[in-house]
Amino acid sequence: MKIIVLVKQVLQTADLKIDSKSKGIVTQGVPRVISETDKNALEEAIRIKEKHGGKITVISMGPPEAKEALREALAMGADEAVLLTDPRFEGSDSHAVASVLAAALSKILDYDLILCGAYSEDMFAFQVGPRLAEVCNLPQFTYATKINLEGTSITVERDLENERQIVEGKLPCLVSVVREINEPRLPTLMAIMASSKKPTSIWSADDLRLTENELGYNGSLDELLRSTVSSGERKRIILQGEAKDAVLKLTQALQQEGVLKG
Amino acid sequence: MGQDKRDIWVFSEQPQHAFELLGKGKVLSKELGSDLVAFATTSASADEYVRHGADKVILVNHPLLVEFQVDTYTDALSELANEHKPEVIMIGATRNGLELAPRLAERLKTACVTEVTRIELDADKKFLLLDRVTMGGNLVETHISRSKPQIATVPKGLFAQSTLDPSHKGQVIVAEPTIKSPTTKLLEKRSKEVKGVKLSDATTIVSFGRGVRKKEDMIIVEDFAKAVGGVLGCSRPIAEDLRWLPEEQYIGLSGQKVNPKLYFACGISGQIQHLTGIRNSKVIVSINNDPKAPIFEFSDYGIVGDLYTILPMLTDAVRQLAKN
Amino acid sequence: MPALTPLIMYTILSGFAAIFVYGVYRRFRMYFRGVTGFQLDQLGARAEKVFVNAFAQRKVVRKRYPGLMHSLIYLGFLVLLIGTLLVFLDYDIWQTFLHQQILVGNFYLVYEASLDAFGLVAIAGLVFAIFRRSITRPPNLPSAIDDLFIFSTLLVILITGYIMEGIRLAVDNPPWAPWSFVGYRVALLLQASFGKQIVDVYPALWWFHALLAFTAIAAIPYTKLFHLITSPFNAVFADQRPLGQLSTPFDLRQLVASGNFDVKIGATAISDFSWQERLSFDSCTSCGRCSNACPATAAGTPLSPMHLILKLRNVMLTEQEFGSALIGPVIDQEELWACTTCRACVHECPVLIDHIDAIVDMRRHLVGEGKLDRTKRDLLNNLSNSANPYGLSANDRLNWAKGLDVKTVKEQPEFDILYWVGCSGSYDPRNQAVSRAMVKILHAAKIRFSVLGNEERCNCEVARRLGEEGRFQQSALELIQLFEKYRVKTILTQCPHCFNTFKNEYPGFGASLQVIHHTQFIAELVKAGRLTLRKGTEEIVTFHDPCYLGRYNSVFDKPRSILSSLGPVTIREMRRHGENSFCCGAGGANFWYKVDQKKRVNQIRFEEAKETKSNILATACPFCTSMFEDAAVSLGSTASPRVRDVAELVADLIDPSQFY
Repeated sequence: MKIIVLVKQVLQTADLKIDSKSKGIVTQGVPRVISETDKNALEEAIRIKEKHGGKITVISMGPPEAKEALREALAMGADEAVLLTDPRFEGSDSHAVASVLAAALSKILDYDLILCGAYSEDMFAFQVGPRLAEVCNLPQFTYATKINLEGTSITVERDLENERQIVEGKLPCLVSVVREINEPRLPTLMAIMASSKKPTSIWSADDLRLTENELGYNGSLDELLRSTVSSGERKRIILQGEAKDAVLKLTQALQQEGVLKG
Repeated sequence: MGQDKRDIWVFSEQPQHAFELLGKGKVLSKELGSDLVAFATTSASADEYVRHGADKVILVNHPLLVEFQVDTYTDALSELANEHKPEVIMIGATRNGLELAPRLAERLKTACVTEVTRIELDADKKFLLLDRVTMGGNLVETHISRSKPQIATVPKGLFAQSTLDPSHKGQVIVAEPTIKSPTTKLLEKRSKEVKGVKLSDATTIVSFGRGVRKKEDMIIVEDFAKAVGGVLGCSRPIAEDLRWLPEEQYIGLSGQKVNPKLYFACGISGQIQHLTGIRNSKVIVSINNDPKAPIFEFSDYGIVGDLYTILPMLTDAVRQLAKN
Repeated sequence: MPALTPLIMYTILSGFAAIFVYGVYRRFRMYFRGVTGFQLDQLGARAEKVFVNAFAQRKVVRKRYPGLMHSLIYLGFLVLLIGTLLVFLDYDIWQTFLHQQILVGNFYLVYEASLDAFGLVAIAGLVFAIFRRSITRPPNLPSAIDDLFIFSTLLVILITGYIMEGIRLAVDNPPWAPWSFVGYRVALLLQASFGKQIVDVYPALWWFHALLAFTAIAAIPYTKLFHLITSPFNAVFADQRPLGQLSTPFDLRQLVASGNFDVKIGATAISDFSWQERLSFDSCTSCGRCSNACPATAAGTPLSPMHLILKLRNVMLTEQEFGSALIGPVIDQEELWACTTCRACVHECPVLIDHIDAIVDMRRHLVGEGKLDRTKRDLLNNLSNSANPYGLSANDRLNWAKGLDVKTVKEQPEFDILYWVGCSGSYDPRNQAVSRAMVKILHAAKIRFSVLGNEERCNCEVARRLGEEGRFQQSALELIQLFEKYRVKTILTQCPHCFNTFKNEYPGFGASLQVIHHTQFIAELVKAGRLTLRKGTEEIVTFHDPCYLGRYNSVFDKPRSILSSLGPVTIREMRRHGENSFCCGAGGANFWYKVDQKKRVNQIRFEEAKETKSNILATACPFCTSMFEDAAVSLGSTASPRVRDVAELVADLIDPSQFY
């Protein structure tokens, strides 16, 4: 059983704050972590390997710092890691990301199952999984809360808003998971340090034989026109005055914030 | 159907959601001077869409489309889109919609923006500006698409439903795209008992602590929660010591971690154990008698006062808003 | 006596002796199974431990009644043992080979009187013991059949001894008979009741007594009597590391140098425990003192330290489950997580068992398996990613000092004291108030101090207690490097956990620092007159001794001396105070996850504070403060007693003139 797990290293979103002077997002000192649902995907892969045997390759596309995320993934139990990194990947939209990942997969060639998180904690886009499945012409099973394998048959329990489904199909395929599927294990520091012995490859755009117009901004179908920074420190506004006035001010403020429907 | 046609297409497997898309779609199609087109799989829904403002409905009555399935719907929609070349396809951002839209976009080799918070035409009416929120709510990204059709997934409740107009006339076009057998087979589906929203998923939470003196007084908070559409939560002592609420409802270090858009802390002092559970809330509002309560340092808005007075007032105010 | 009696007796005795030796051998084989190394250092300290604990019985006598009971038995049998040895020496060595006698003259008279007296002492002790175990039955004192069997056997031995003495005296009627005052009266009684025929039962009685005594000796390695051997051995071989230091299963520096991280730590099977730990399990006399002092037991959690040790011992004694995993089938995970590492158990244990060592070893196994629940994983992730256990932004570490004159080591590289704020003092709003009070005190006393600011990171003491040794050591090495970079000599901290780790655990990683807790520091300032304090209001204060400050590091007087100097303050002690202080419930990482308690530890302790009818509950630890504030809210008692850190009480009374 050859399993590919896609992981993304993200900034710990809870720590992100706006710099009051530059009005930009402060990323310095903000820890980089593996996106939670990707950890769930990896944990599921490890459980499948524990049950059925096989090999887990974990792939991450990102800046050179993403190597740390791969170390943690190896420490959890993956067998080998591949880092796809290249300055030319900057500015990639989901389509460009899927293209790069597909290129990596075609280099790896042999796999039975691709696991990934349904969404990443920083973007919440839900796109890479289905796009990759489409490019590689694979069946997709999304929002998985349980996976069962038997030979080349796969059965997946899926969680939709109002119903649970049990769906069946054949390998190879792509499965995207949600947090309810499992509790990811935590590797000890020792395991993380020991994981440096496991093989890690680093591939650039050239290794993947991608052309300029498939990369980054050029390879993207969607364009980010602008980003507006939207929140900052806690406001700590104490609404003064008589109770009735304070209540009125509060409802007005909350409507302004767009969190109270009027 | 010429190249200048810039039709707005909408689809959701949930009709009520589709009506919302039609609501916004009507506005956009008017601005662009094009048609509003809905995708339907039954003639009954096709008629509904017409009554809700669709100028055209593309109806595909195919056995493989009876149950939503990403393979078959991607086949159908991609062939139709290639044929009719819409400007925009708005897909309801249900879980089904979110797995369909990117796959469809990839097949059409076009862009897709998911979970949009705003759709507007730019000043020159050349682009659709699609906003979405990222980075833990810190960033609003504005996207435009370099390719057609522009696909956007729209969350429920973002737009108002289009008004029902039984006299509205529209054209129902029956289509028969090629749909391959799906690669997956649905074995079983069970509907989920609607036990109410889980705290960890809730977008509005009303939470209380020991500021509420008696179990019977909880009703004040419950009324407010109902008025504001929030899920009820509490601090640890309420659940673990007093047992006024089940353990799953307490928020804190050893309880639930929540990330609502709006969090009300009523009569909660703000011990660190509670704060670690609510720190991901977008807006925190606190009501506490004690001006020195640590919760105020952690809040966006605060009222220093007795929740027994403030909450009923707030409940009335919110109800008034809903009426208007 | 008949001529061959000694020969027959010694032959039979050697049979029993063989059983005894085999029993001892079997037990020691269990301890040493699979063990390769053997080391013994600090012989002097070890000898002292044996003398103080085994011979002087210091810890045993700490509890009045059980202490008395055991002392009676101990002293009684000690004297009788010496007495019997003297008989052996006298008859079989001195008389046989040297043709002399020891037991003669006045010495003999005193000898006889002493033996009779101490025989009574032993009987009194045994009766007391039987009474406790079967009638009064204090909590956590099991009344097992073999306990009662042992006591009864010993009683019979003693009583038959007196009867035999009585018969001997009745027959021989020597002039010094009254010196054996008990035997003398027995003799009179026997003569009156039975006359001279009583002598007929003597041989049978003698053999009965001898065989029973041999049986008792042979039974030693098969019953709890074995503590006679294991307890002193435990005192000799117990780990000699400082009190506040957990065992160190590997050294990260060495592993990094060697590049080999394939180190298995933690224990789930008997085979995983060191031989000292196994020996200690076998030393348990089921006296129950540990469980009676344990806060987790009091709170109704699954943890009872005595039962935990006994479970381990019982599995060890079966000799079959040597390599079988015990966590799950025998030891429940929740028992291990409920421990606050308060050390009350180790403090109480008269035979020097270290329950915490065993618990932490088992926790290390669980952590190594990675099977932690969400909150524990969040804790460790927060430590790794955010450098603090709250998971709050590392960039916010100095927010508490906004508006205060606090300089970082970068801004003020020349400083006398590094003020270590700690994670709680930095992030927890309640304890940020204590940090601000500290700054006020430091400025009032004109101390040149600096803080690390955003470079301060958690020392991960909590990770070590949880069982994640790697993250702790990594943090330690980083911080020690940081201290060296800024030439830190003295660290001042308001957190006893940080205090204990820096003081007792960091030297093992190469640090040489002077570490002061804020109560020590403030007490010195007050004593030296560096702080001018206004007169406070009349308060009744009770002080809660934090486990890691008091029991672990013996700092009891300094906080109290501070409180006494705060004007008309009356200090009332809680029932359990000083080294017997009862934990607040936060230690051992318990603050960070949920422990199923029937009655919460912090509430038990808070109610104990309320019993003193004090209006202030003074604390010296940010976690105690947090736990008691929580208890106050839960119990609806936020008015009295008020929870205040010692630093806050002092800062409130600093005369403003000090700032000019």
